[in-house]
Amino acid sequence: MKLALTVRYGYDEELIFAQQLGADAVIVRFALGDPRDTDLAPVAHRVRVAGLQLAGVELSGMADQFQPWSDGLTGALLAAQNAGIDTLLCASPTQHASTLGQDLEAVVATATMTGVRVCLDSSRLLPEELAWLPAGDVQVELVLGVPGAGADGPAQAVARVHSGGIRAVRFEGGGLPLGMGKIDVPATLRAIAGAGYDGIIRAGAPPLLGEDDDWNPKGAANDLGYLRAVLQGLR
Amino acid sequence: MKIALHASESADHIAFVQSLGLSDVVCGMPAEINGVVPVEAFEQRRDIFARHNLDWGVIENLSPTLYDEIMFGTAERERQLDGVCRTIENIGKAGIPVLQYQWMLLGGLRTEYSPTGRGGARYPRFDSAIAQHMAAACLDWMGGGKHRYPHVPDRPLSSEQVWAHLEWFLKAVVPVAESAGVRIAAHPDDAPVPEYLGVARILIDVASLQRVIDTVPSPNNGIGFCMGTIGTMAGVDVIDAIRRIGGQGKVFFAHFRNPRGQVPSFEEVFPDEGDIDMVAAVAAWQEVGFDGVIRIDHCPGVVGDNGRADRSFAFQVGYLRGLIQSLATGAGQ
Repeated sequence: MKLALTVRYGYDEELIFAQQLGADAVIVRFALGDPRDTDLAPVAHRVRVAGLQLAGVELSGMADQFQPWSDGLTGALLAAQNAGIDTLLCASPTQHASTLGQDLEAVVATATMTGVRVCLDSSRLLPEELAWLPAGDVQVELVLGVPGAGADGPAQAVARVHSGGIRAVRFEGGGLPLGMGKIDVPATLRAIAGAGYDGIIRAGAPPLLGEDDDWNPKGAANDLGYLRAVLQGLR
Repeated sequence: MKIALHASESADHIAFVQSLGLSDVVCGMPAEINGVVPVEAFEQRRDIFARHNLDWGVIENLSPTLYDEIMFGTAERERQLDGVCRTIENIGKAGIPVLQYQWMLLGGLRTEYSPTGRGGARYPRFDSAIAQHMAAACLDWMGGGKHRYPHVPDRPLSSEQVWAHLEWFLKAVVPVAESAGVRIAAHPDDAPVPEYLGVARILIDVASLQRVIDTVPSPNNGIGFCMGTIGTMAGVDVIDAIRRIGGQGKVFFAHFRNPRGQVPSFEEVFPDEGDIDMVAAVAAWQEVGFDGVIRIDHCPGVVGDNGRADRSFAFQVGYLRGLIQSLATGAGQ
């Protein structure tokens, strides 16, 4: 498995931070604006010249309604193709359509055309939507530690891995340092590794540890160290 | 084992320690009065931590200002010994079970703090060839007293002399520690080189740590097992050392740190990239049944960090917790 740290685009300190703490790769969070103006080449360039691997771009600021959301994602897919980025991560629209699977067919087609994978956040998908995935290059980021996010324990996580299409796994601590919450991270990682998962793992929103900067670097450091140790323990 | 940080009494630092989910802290000595630290000073500090549900289980370290004449073997040592004994009695009265001390006459040693680490992180480094001609290699981390660090000695001291001073100290102090219910733990010489500026350094291998234990056999006489320091001892395997010292129940306190290299030169790196197999080390701690406090030790300098290095310490706390939980659930098997 490859351990990734999430960093914000344009905050160079965070790239250095990721490198110093030994992240295998970064996922860059990028605020999507007008889809016609989306340019992801600078994102890939900065990561590359910083000596890091880019595991994907996480799109933020996407629309809640399906059509503008789909338009934004389509623009990002084309921009990712131009920039040589192979993975986009995002949440599905907040306002779910009962026909999301059908609606996504156009996105699936664009993803296939561009050769860029889309990872939808499992914690934002209804069970029936989750069951529809993977669909071509539209896959899933399995979110663990959030009730109802598609896997509440090792057994469910393994089932999701067996169903295929898990491109990334994210552990949410729910405001606590990883290892202090309800989810048994080592047992879950051992289980999904045993099921053959070998992709990206990352921590979710970092906890606030005492007084800290707005991106909670102390919490991010704690969670990255925790996941690194658990991965070393697996070996 | 219980993960701890070296904590201060500041509200911000306490909040940081609490938010990490820790319940144990270690801390240095309160101020002395006429060579003795009064019981009230310990109780006051203990109570500050206790109000935040933090247990102060280890005093780190015995202030050198209380016993520097003893280490150097001067005519003043009898006077200092009385103060040390009364201080240990006060530690016992305050209910603090472990006191770590060190026997580094010239303090800890480093020669560089350079941005040569992973991603430009700053790594403390030691190179014996440089230290030989560098009086400033003494880390100014002890402070105070006639033999204030850094200190350029006015005469050489042999290994035999320094051992004799330590044995005199142990024979006098261990019975007091027994009566007080305090376990005293010797920290090895960091860096573990045999001599610096003409003064011998004696706790530089596993055999010397065993000699401390054997000098005054007692359940109250043991070792502060600094993984980083022991990992930099020439030819020493830390896992074997954990089994040997820890297997006797003689580790009263431990430091968690991973170096790269051994004397004559080494550097302190992140715990996931050093020479010690930390998975095997934590497994060894569990194997010998160590249930004491293990404190996150020095750590590399990380971009944007504060003066306490909270980011770097947070990484190491998470790392150690991850190892402990992995091994507890069998993920490491």
